[in-house]
Amino acid sequence: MDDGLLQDFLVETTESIEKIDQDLLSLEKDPNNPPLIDSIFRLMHTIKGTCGFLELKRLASLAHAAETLLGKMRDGEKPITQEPISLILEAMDQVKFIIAVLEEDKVEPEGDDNPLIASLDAMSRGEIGGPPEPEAHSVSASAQPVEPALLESLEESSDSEPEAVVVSAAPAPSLKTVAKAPAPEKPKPEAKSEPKKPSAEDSAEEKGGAAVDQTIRIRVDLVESLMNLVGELVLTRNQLLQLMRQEQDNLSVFATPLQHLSHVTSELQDGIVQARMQPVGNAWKKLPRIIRDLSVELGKKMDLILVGEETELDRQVIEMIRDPLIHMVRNAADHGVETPAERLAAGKPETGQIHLQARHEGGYIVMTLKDDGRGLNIDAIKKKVLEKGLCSPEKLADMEDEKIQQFIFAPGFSTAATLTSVSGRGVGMDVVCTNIERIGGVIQMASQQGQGSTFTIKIPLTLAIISAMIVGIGGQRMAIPQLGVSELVRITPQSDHKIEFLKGAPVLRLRNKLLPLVDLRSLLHLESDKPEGGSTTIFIVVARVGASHFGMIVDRVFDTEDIVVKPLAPILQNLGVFSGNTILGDGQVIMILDTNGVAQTLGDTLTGQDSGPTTPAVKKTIASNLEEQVSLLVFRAGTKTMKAIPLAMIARLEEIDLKTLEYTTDKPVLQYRGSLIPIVTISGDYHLAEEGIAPMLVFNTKKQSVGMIVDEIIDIVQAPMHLTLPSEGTGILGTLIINNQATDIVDAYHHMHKVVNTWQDSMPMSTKGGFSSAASKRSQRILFVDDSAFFRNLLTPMLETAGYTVLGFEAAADALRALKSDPDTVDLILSDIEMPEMNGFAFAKAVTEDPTLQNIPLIAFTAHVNSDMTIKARKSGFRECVAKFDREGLLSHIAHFLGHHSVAA
Amino acid sequence: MKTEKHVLFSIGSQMFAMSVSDVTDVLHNPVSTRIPLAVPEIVGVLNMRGYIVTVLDMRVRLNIQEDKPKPDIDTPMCIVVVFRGTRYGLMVDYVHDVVDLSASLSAPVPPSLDPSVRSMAVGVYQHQKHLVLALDITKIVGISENLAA
Repeated sequence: MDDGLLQDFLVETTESIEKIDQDLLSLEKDPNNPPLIDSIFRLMHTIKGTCGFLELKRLASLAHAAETLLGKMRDGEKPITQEPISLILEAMDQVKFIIAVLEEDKVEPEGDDNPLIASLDAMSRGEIGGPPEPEAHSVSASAQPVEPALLESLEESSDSEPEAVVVSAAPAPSLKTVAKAPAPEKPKPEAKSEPKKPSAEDSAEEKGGAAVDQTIRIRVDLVESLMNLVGELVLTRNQLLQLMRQEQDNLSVFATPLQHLSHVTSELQDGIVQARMQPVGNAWKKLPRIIRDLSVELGKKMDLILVGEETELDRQVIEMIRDPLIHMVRNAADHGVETPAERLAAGKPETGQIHLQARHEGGYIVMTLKDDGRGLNIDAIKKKVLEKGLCSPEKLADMEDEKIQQFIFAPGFSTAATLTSVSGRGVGMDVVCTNIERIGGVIQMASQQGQGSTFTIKIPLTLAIISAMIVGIGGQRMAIPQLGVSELVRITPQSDHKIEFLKGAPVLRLRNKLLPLVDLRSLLHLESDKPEGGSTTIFIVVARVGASHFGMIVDRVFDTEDIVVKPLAPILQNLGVFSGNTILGDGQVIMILDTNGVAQTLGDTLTGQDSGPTTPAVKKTIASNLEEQVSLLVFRAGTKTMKAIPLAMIARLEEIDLKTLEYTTDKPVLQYRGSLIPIVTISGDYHLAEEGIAPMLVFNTKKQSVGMIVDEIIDIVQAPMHLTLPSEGTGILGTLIINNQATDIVDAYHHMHKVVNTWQDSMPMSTKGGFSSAASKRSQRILFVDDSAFFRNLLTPMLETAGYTVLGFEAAADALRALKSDPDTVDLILSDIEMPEMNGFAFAKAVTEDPTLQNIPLIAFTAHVNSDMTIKARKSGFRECVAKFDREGLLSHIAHFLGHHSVAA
Repeated sequence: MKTEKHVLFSIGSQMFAMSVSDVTDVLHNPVSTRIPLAVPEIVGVLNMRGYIVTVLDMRVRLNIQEDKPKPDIDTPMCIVVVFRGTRYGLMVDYVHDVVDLSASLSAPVPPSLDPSVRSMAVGVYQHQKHLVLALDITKIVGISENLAA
């Protein structure tokens, strides 16, 4: 057969079948529509005729049988109900299958469709397909051989397993549910947009009718080539304009014609872009049918509501979202919407709603898919995540629900208990996500368990032209697509925002969240182009990836432009950080960065998944340091250097009149609240002024209070416990940068220890009750594990002041080894929770599981105590959980457990 | 005798030939934008009448150790070819004439040749006292594509 003839036939017939499909669905909802059934019949008649003419025997017989049934329906001899419509739809699917083979092989496939034709004929004769009859089952049973093909063409994938398909396609149960309903009732799924169409299209279908066809057919590759040419015209026009701007005086004679040319080019561009635009409804055509069939198959009631299908989109983009949308709609129907019984039990209306909407929004098209079903099951996801080893149990336990939901986008993930033929051969949302990202779009999800899920897809109107920010990195210009960018932060030496470093990785504190940063210049191995000692202003481009954000450090930001994306040569496509290149107005070629690709260089710090090169230790540190924000009292004492002490260590702040100070053996003391307390100063000398008011910090040790007189109290600030400089002298724990100032963290206990001991010496009797000599207590040994030198330095003196001997360890693994080698030397174990490598929970478990160590009481130590933490701590073997700055609590718990211990012993 | 037009070019003291059917332009001393993180044989990308051309350094590609010609005296040339819809620029030292070469006159490629060069060569010709190695565009660019994969 002549190839051209065949081609025309295929194109026309495919269109007709699509129309028949849609019209049949409309007819199902609106059976009393003679023009509609007429139109369907005519289409089928035409198909039959053409097939006969082209000697396509198989198609012709099928079409003929369908036409006969349609004829009976048109003439009123056969009621228009779900059964005949289902059967004709089946027949249409078979036609699609045959046409697909025809297109490939140029001939019809071998075999025949006798069972299907027999059913059609039987139905025409009225033998079957009336209201509820057991024969209905045998009809479908005999139709089984057809079904693999049917579902195959529906699903458009070539690897269906026949067994799986047939099993799940068993119509018997669903037919029963359907059959229960009286015949004239409207079938479950409703594509609400459909009713509008038949009447409008009907008139257009009038053979040789009044309506003149306002469209022409044009080959796609021709439109593509026009698009390319126009793209280049735009670029050349930009270049000319650039030159004009530069050489205004010399080229003034060109100005006017160039202006006109520019104008015309812009219009041409708009026109061509329009030409490629198609209504997004084209991508939605199959959806009503899919929902309808799923309703029947799964026994669920579902409405598909389509809004905004006339929204226009580039043809290429439509091609690429068609399949992801189908997958997502299937998911909503299969996993989202509950059965009618479940819905009623949950207090929802019986019919589930699946709402698909498209609209334009600022240069993008936004599509939302919303269902009011059961939402994402967090527990099922968690289970699957652990099964597949996508994340460690500890991380998962700490994760917010929102982040856990994101796991459905992870490769290889699927929570379907059995892979139904409907929505999953393990294809999963990750493929959807990849496809959408491939066209430069983003997908987000929100889900409430029990209430439903909403997916939002945002895609650029055309693939070719995107809005991008032009930035400068190390002297080179690059483009960052605007779509993923949420904000821009400018950092100067004077600004509040600063880049800080956590274990070597740069981060930015932005509105109380820690943002991981990528230094693009070092990532791309570019040299700095800033002169030495020049301006140190930098910019951070904050981008969104999935549910998280991260920042990219750039040297300069130029402007935002519309650029024409040109794909990278294949040899460059493996560079994950680039997604394409473009030509700027001045003729320069620049690279386009791929936000996702850059984010991936951060490893797992963003997604929370365990795989990847970036160490879990870094992430843990970020997390733990986030918690360990400390309130510090900043003051001045003696020297100009700022000093600070953790607020929690200070019992009271007082102002005292220096005249009230008294001296004992040249050391100052103060009558305070009924007792005599020693006074210290940071500098250690006691030459205090004779007069005036001075601020005093009051500390409480186990034995008594101590007052520290300082010059001036500056402020109370929150700072992360990350020492910029470790301590070099005694009395100072280290140095932090607070509000741009280097601030020494004072080791208060160092000062107090001195005083308390000497006090002891000079005044054997205490003026405060409860004084007991440290020497009289058997020195009990406490094993203390904390990865932070700060806390070790802080607490060790405090514990020693209280009379204990402290063995400090930085890593739990080392502590464990020491314990195992010498189990009897330790009376109590005090341990931090958040530590890299082996954390507190693991450490406690290891200790309690060792018979030689079981009896040693364990106390957990953490920055923030809440009930969750306490429960977890207790589960791991800790007796108690104490906050890091709660000295009183810590000491009393230690005493309690040690006292308890000695009684037991 | 069926002949095909070939463009002759040289790198160092070696002469090469390539069928003109894939060649669209020859550029003189083009300026290209460097591509961060790309393999060394990719010089960069440049704009040629609105097309983006990915430039390959043939010296690196063919593993030729000879020194580059002095920049102030001689400037590199770039042969632009189209391969599967993408434009590539091949940086060479000189581009000479376009000549007719007949396949029947070519000798097989000597096995002693550097393996990476051998994979791209399709024959050896004699032309005006020079030995010219004919290269196949598919192999020059196609292999690069595979390298990246």
